[in-house]
Amino acid sequence: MNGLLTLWRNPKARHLAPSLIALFILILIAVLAPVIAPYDPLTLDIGGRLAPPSVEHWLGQDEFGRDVLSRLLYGAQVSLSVALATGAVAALVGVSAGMIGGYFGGIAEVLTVRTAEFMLSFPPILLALLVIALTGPGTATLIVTLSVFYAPEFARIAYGEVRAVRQKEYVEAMRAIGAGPSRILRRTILPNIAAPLFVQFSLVVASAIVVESGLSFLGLGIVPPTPSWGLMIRGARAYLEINPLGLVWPCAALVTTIFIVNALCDAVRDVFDPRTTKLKGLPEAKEGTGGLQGRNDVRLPEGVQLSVAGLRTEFATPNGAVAAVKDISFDLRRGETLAVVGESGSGKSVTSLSIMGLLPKGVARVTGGRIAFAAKSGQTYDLADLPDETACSLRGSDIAMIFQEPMTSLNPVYRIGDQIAEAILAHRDCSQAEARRLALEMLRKVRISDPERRLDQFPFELSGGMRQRVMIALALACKPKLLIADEPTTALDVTIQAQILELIKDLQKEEGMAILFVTHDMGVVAEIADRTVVMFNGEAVEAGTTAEIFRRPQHPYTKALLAAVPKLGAMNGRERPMRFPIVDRSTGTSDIPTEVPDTVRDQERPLLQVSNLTTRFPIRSAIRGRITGRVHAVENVSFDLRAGETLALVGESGCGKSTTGRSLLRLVEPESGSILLDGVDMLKLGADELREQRRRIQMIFQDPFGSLNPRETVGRAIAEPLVIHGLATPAKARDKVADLLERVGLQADMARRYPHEFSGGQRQRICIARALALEPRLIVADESVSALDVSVKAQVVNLMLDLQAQMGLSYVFISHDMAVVERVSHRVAVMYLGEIVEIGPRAAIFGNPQHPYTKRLLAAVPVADPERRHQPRLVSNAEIRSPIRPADFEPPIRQYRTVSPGHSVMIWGDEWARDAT
Amino acid sequence: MLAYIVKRCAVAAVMIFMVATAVFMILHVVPGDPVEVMLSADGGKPDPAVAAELRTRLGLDRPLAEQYASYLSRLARGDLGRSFLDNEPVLKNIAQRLPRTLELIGAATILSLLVGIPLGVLAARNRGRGIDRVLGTATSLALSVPTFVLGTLFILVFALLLRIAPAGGFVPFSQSPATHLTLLLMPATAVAVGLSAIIIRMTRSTVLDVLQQDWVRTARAKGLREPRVLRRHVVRNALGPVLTVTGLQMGSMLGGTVLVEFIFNWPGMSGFLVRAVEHRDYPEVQGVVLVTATLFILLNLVVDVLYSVLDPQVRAS
Repeated sequence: MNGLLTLWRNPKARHLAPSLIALFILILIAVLAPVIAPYDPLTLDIGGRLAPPSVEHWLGQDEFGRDVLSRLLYGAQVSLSVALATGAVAALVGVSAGMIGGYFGGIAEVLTVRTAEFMLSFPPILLALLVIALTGPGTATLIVTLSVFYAPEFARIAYGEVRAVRQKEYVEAMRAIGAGPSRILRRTILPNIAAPLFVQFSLVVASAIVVESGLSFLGLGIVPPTPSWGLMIRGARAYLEINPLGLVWPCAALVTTIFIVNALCDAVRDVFDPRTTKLKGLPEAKEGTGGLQGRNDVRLPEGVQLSVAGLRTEFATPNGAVAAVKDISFDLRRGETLAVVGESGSGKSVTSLSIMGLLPKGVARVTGGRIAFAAKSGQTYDLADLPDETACSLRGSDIAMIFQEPMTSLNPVYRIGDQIAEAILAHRDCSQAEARRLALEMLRKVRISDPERRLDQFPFELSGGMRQRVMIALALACKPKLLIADEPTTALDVTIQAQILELIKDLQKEEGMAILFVTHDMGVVAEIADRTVVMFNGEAVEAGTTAEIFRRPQHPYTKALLAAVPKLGAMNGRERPMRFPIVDRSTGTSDIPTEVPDTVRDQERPLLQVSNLTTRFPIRSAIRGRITGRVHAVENVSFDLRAGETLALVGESGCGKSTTGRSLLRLVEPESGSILLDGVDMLKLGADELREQRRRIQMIFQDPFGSLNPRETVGRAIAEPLVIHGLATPAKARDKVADLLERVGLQADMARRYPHEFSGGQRQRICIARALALEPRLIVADESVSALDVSVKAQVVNLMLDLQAQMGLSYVFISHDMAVVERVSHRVAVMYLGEIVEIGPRAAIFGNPQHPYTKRLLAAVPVADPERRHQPRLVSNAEIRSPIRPADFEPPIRQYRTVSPGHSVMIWGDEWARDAT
Repeated sequence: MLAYIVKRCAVAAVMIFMVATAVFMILHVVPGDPVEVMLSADGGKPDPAVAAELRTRLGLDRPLAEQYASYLSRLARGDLGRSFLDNEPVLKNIAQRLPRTLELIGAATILSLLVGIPLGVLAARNRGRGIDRVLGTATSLALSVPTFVLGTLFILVFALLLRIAPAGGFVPFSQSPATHLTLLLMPATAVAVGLSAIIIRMTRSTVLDVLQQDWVRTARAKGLREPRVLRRHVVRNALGPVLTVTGLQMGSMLGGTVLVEFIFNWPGMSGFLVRAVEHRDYPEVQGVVLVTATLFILLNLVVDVLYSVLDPQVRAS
């Protein structure tokens, strides 16, 4: 029902109307056949054999003199009832089996899905024939047999969809609030997988009509004299030469019916496919005059590489054209780095794609301004107004670009060397061998380890950092004059980010190209840029040297942005966490942030005592299911957390911080250790007690878009935990929802809205409200502010601090962002490869780090201070290692050394020797 | 890579064994007395003496386990039993007809790929424009006409009304290659219409997916011309899913050709199956189903291996 409602709300749903109406008419005809058919379909009239159409018999008579029209109408009844019954039975059996197999896995999966896959290895019509050979034909046999053969396909689809949806954070969130599997399957998962199942249902109905008529045609389906289109075609075929029309009627009926069902299927698919949304209002193309070489009115001043003036770029959207970039102007000089900085939706990436000429065709277009660029040839081009041919010859040769997602920016099916060589061969007339030699030279230049071997590797064999190096090698292969870097380090870990930033700076010194650096991160801006343009809402609100902008921001937005940037070291000399200052975006005036009150109850027994927690995931071989290794995600982790305290877990990808958080709620099952929450060991609880205990410990996830069920109002989402635990009547729950929404800074009447109507920051507030519904004592916040824009991030952090002060909450704050961690936490634990390498009070970790990894991590954090830009940095070139170990790996026994009260550090071995010195 | 292929082969072997078991079990699981059904094909109550004799001949009077063991051992020797109808070994009958079915399927598949992939790419390239819409409607229509309807209509139009093609039949290639191919053309086209519609749609949607990928943007950023981007970075990556679907479709065609062979009097294996089912010739039906399912599994095996050759990540593991 819920799924249907959502369907109805979809504006594209009206495309369903024609095929739905047609299908309805068909069903009506089938049902009313006894009323509207002029004759009994079985009455013989030997005199009228094969009579042509007449007034009495509109469509003529068949070989037994029966009325063709009546038989057609009754045939609809047979066809549709067999097909719909088959579809319904198959769907019921298959979907139940697939959902159970997909959700529970293990033995349920073997029993349901593996069986289904096995059955799919028979062509259905053959098995139907086999069964019919044994039982003889008949309508009931047909329905049962066909259902058995169509069910596996339903099972397979339901299984696949459940597996995909089960990973979503909103399902995880339901488990965290204590919902049982049956409720999750019915209420949370089913509405979200209904669309592909419905598509499959219409496919099966269409296919069943075909198979039924085909079998009847062969004389093996419906038993004569029952009217069936297949039988009618069979009959007509024998008299083809005498009465060709007799063949046309049943064929037309059959094809029309299948066409209607297929059309419905396509329409449903389209409604749920975002790609088919109709876009409106794409502006007319700018007059293509072929660049500026024809008109000599633009000359770039000496030393200027790129000059953007009054750039305007528009996008077609379902509601008409929207300008993503309204009016941007800046100059970029040779050898200089210009940062374009802004939050999401500011138009910074669109600016870079406009310059590169890579705007999505048919969706976006430059509609105003000019982009003057001095090419290697000495000519000046207007990039906003260039024939495709010229644009191609400039791209890759004179202007190159690197992107945010190194993991997906390389083609997975080609070797690294070939992909770099391809860029060279596109612009230079040289041999394959020469191109390969140059590719190797480029790989050396980007200081990738083992460059000869990389040439013949595929992208999936390289880490994200290495792939970004390859992308840089590829971009610089033809020695471009301009490099556009669009958030090139955003997807990377902080130590890898530091390496890539250093590399880009070094290469600029060597090659002397101009760099346009697009980023959202003020820290990175301060690290890399000579000059900066701040963008907001498609416009440049401020431009100047980076130092000026940081020291004396003019525009209120810049001030607000800078105030929200967490700065490492800002907390020196402070004991307790501190709110972020909030700057009014219209006036630029700031409130004075205060230190939060002391919330930590250090006299009481700790709220949470974790000791020797270990969580490992086995990796099985593909062939025999043997355990070939293990991911040592959490290895012998111990810590305490007091009421009202915030402990931050920090580290980079694969360090186990998220798994630690999920282990605390037993969203993953730890292997050993103990988790005492108020003295009760979470790991010793049965399913019901665990559900009860989960009331005290809640979780907020990273992705504010993924952690709310898109098919549920936020009011219901927030009330859900209360309902599941039977804690409130519907009326009381409604009051509570209103109260919670206001508490997180939203309005009570927003409860009726759906998640997609909210921004990222608002959604994260909703998630917090949902977590608070059960009045927990501890909240595990897993990268909860990482995906948010910096100003929104500051607000959500402030909210979390306020709630801690009001309610005495404890937080396990999982984050990779050292600067935010410094701001919010009382204590910090640094994790590496599943282990805590250092733990202590925040001031001690940041002020007096001991472990080489802690030092490396702190050194890698970009400092939002342009003054320090030219100081050489100590950047380790180490890769982040993998926590996957061989099956027989014995974790070493670790010793800890106490540095000062509460601050202890793991005693490290030789592997850190180089870092330690 | 080798380990992967070995594993796939092992899985296929297990599947074939399970199919053999299932085919055996169906005879015993289906309600009713199969012997009576087999004998009552022409109507009327069967003679009890004849029924008893058939039961002995099929070994149905022996314990289930024993029947199963002897069934497997006969299978292992390639003995699929003898046909009730002509008392010929089933395997011989199948061996004679199978190549003709495979030829029909092969011809239809090649035809469909040749038409489907270019048209699919064309539709994707012109998404939302006229040619895309025309192809969209055409494929909808093609998918709505069951193969046997299309075949019958072909005969009506080309053989009876226009008289430009024979209504069906078969001449061995060795006898007259030209006539052989002429006779192949209509049934192959009837099968190919639906398959090429599926391939067009699959190619279109895969190409559209790949066009969204970041590496296509990288290829454009290199300054590659659009045709090269399309060929090297889009179509090459889209081939895997398209081939997988084609392989699966070839499998289901093993069933679908039943009707086409019947209509065009193409003396392949499937048309033969219809005769066997009509006469309740159980050993023959069993044999055809076994052979077809085995082929289907082998075909999937080939597709999987092919796919792994196209995907370096699978190739390496």
